[in-house]
Amino acid sequence: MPNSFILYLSLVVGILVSSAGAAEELSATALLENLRRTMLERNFKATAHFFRDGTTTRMDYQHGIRAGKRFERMLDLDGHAHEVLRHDNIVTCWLPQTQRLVIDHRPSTQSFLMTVPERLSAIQAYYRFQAQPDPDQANWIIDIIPEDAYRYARKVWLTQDTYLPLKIEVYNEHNRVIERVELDHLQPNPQHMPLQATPAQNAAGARHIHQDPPQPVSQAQFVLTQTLPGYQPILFTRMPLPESGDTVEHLLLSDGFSSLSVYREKHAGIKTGLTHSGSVNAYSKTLPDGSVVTVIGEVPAQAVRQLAEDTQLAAPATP
Amino acid sequence: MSNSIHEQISCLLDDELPPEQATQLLQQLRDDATLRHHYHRQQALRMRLHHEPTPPMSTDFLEQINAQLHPSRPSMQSLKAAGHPVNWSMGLLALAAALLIWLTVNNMPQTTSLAPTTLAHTSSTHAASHARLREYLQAHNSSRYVGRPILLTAHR
Repeated sequence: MPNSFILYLSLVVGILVSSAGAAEELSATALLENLRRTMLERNFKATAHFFRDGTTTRMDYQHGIRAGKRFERMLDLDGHAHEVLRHDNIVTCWLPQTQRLVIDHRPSTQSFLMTVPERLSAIQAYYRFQAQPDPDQANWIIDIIPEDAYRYARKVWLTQDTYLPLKIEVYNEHNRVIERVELDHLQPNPQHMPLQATPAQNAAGARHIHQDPPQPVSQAQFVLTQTLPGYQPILFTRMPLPESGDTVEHLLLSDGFSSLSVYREKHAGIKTGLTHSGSVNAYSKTLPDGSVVTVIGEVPAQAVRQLAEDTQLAAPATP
Repeated sequence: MSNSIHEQISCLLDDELPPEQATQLLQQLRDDATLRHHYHRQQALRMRLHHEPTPPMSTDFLEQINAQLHPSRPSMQSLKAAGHPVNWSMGLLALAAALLIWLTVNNMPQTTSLAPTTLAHTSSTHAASHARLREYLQAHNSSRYVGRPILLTAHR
């Protein structure tokens, strides 16, 4: 057989294989884009079972869009009546047992179920996407596979026609499920949701998070000598802590799917080193001025440790 | 039992009690059997509400409280679990020795009782550290961590 024929054959086979791979990736990206659009356009409700930190919580979940603003409502069905409401970009938590009302003016997530980044193409250096039909249920399964050790893998099950989320799993670095959200009794929700589910008289005693406007990251009294690949700053602010009255600097970073926070304060009283619970890891270290920096988030231990190690005091401003 | 204590126990179970109050309440639980009984009932009720298996009434509850008040001291149960046989005669001997040392120390001039202070300090440091990490988590992701007890433990 002439060598030129073998060369042509290899070339054709190579093109076919690479085309098939590209088609698969395109399909997964398209499905994720459909999921993101569904979460911006559709009204639906379900019972959501959250498995986190070894315990399962059952919530009545409602999702809706009104006047272009997203609403979400979760109500604890297991006796505590704990209620979480999202109105556009404000999250309100109402805890009837302790009569606590907490209002977050700049929440880190876009949805209680899962955040899907707007520009998937921007994060394809950090994640690989694969789609496959679910053989038993006629649904779609999307694998979101990290390309490094700084983020967790995810798997999403979607309804085949409507692209509604059915199940979301998060896996640790040993490929074990560390979080699961499963939705059943999923159905369209034509009802209008209450704008404010919490008793208005409690608003006066509410605790506010991120109420002050964000500041430029350059205002921080710490610097990141290196940032983790793919993580972008989302928010920097200084906020008072209600129990101590101290002020803490807070920098939120996200890669689109995962997020982590860097905190620095002078009198934190936090034990240094690595701590964890379920999918959450935290790493604290003392800076030369005695302040403590803590990196915390639903990311692998390596990510929080690396970012904390790369956090230093900012050089004092020159007059 | 006052309503205030009821509320404090409720907050302790929700992991929402300030560190100093948590330390005080744990000490009260250690010393008051009625209060301990109430704590167990509340805990069992919550477990049922969450459809979790109800833990049996713990016989080593005092040890658990002591462990929380003084985390570095190994419990008898943990020694057993680690395969260390419990020698009761040695235990009695140690108790007698401790009593002798205590009497000696208390009769010495300029005696300072350090243990309770250290114990309370260690406990409040742990509790303060947990409380602050909890506050950080709530600001990191309010929809997940507000009103939800989460305890971060050291990596082994």
